[in-house]
Amino acid sequence: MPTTEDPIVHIDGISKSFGKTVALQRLDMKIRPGEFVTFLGPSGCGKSTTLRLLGGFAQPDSGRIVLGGEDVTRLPPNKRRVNMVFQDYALFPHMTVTRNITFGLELKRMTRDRIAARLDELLSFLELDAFRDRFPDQLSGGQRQRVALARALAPDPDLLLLDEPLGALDARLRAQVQLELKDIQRRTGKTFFFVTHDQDEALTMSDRIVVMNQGRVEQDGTPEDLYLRPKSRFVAEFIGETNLLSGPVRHADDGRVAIDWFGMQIEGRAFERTPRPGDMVTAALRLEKVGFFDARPETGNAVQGRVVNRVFKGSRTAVDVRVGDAGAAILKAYVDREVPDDVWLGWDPANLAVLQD
Amino acid sequence: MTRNTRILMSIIYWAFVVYLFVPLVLMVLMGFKDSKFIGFPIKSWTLDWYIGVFRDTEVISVFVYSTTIAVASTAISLTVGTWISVLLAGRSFFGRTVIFGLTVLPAVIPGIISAISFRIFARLLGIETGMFAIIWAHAVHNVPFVALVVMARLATLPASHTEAAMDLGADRFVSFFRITLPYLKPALIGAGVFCMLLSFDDFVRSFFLGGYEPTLPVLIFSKLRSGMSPEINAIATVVLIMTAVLGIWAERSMRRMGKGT
Repeated sequence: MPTTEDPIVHIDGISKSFGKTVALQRLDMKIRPGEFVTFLGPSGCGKSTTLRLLGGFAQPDSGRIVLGGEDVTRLPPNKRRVNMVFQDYALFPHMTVTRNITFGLELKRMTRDRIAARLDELLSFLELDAFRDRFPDQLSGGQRQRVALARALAPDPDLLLLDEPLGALDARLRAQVQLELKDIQRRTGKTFFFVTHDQDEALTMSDRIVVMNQGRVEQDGTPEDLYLRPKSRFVAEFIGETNLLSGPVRHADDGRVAIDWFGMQIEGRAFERTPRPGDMVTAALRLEKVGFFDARPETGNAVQGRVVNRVFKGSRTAVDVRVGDAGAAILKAYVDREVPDDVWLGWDPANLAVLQD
Repeated sequence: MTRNTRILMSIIYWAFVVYLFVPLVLMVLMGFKDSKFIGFPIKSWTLDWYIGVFRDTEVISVFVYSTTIAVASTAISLTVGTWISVLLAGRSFFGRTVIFGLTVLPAVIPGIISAISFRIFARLLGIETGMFAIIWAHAVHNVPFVALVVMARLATLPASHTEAAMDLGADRFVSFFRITLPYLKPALIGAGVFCMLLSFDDFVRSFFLGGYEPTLPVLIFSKLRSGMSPEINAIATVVLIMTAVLGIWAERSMRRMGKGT
């Protein structure tokens, strides 16, 4: 009997290539029961390959996949306690909503009564009662997405795979469905494995985000970790908007790193390996973490500059500030009020994340 | 297009329509003529020829014979054609092009040549001429049409549909019968009706491979040799109406089913 601390999924060093293209390089990953894990990355990063390997639609070249304590690496999809919500939903066009949802239950040889009970439970849970006798082409995009979800949840899988299921919805609906999906995951307590290239989706829903790039894990952490403490330039640039500040290290001590940035002395934090004095480093600073001051702020980092560009964005204004000796660098920031042209900028050193590459 | 060319084009079109349908109309009209001789003027009208056809046990039994051959050969063509399509679909493997070529070949071989070769082959194998031989020849001839139509439909089936079935616990067998086959239904109905009409209409193969019992086209042919009579017009009209109804039904049901997918 596995305890809650045992991973429900253990991906043990799997690699996969398609011809000469390497899709995954020795991926190691443990997923705890009830986690909402998102694999995030650009197309071709290996996120969809991981999903298909977990679903059983492809076999890894090497490595193992352990699901609920059982090695399923070579098992076909129909022998795994894993279900998938497909990108195009893949609802069976010749079956009603009811028949679609009960398809997996009939194949499990459940009794009629239990199938009917499970169907009713899912229909009311996903608010699909009114559509039970409709065919997929009589449903809206959001309803189809819910039917696909109900169908995948019906056989009570250990792991639910979601392959960019919000891609086909329009922007307004997508925001609403993101919250619904998170809510459904919380209420069912199921382990969700979500794949997307959309950073907003990932940040909104996930307990944990795995950023993938070229078949490798770039960073694995909570949404806050990834946003405020990116490890690499790739993660910093892929998620949100960011300033990248590069310069030599003047001195470093237990994660506190002093950097010479175009003659300005600034301080950041290294969250893993602390660099040595003289190393060239890059640090990431989120636009909204930069504060505006009339005079030099008393604590934290401070630089003086002149506003060179303003772009009105409704609730806030994006501002470019020329800073440093002879205006050598540009710092981008968000501000929600009128600011004069000559300003002081300041930020908490904890918000300047020194990258590892 | 100027106004004049448009008028000219529509005149040519309607001339073509007249050219196409006047013979059919004449044929139907002659079936109602109260005289043994084909030709105008029609002095008096009668339904006797139709009554004669429906009372003629030979015509009825030949009709049943032809229908049986059509249904049986179509069933075989559908099974084999679908089988080949599924085999060839999606993946590429060594010899795929060759198999595809061989599948389509029977459709382009001239009827007389395939009929003679079937006759010789049947003799070699010791297959007697008659119903079985005709069914066999019709089935082989019709497989390419089924394969082409089913392959085209199969190409539009998203891979995710069968994957979803597998994901929900279906093996390949269940997935084929519950997902792929229903998806192919419009194609199968269309191809099936087309095969039936081809088989029903075939003269050359049926003539060469037939035994003592003629198929309907062979019967009409032999009746023609003893002179044209309005009875033949009546038979032809009945066949015309039935095949037209079948064809229109197939076309409509294909369109209706294709819409939802």
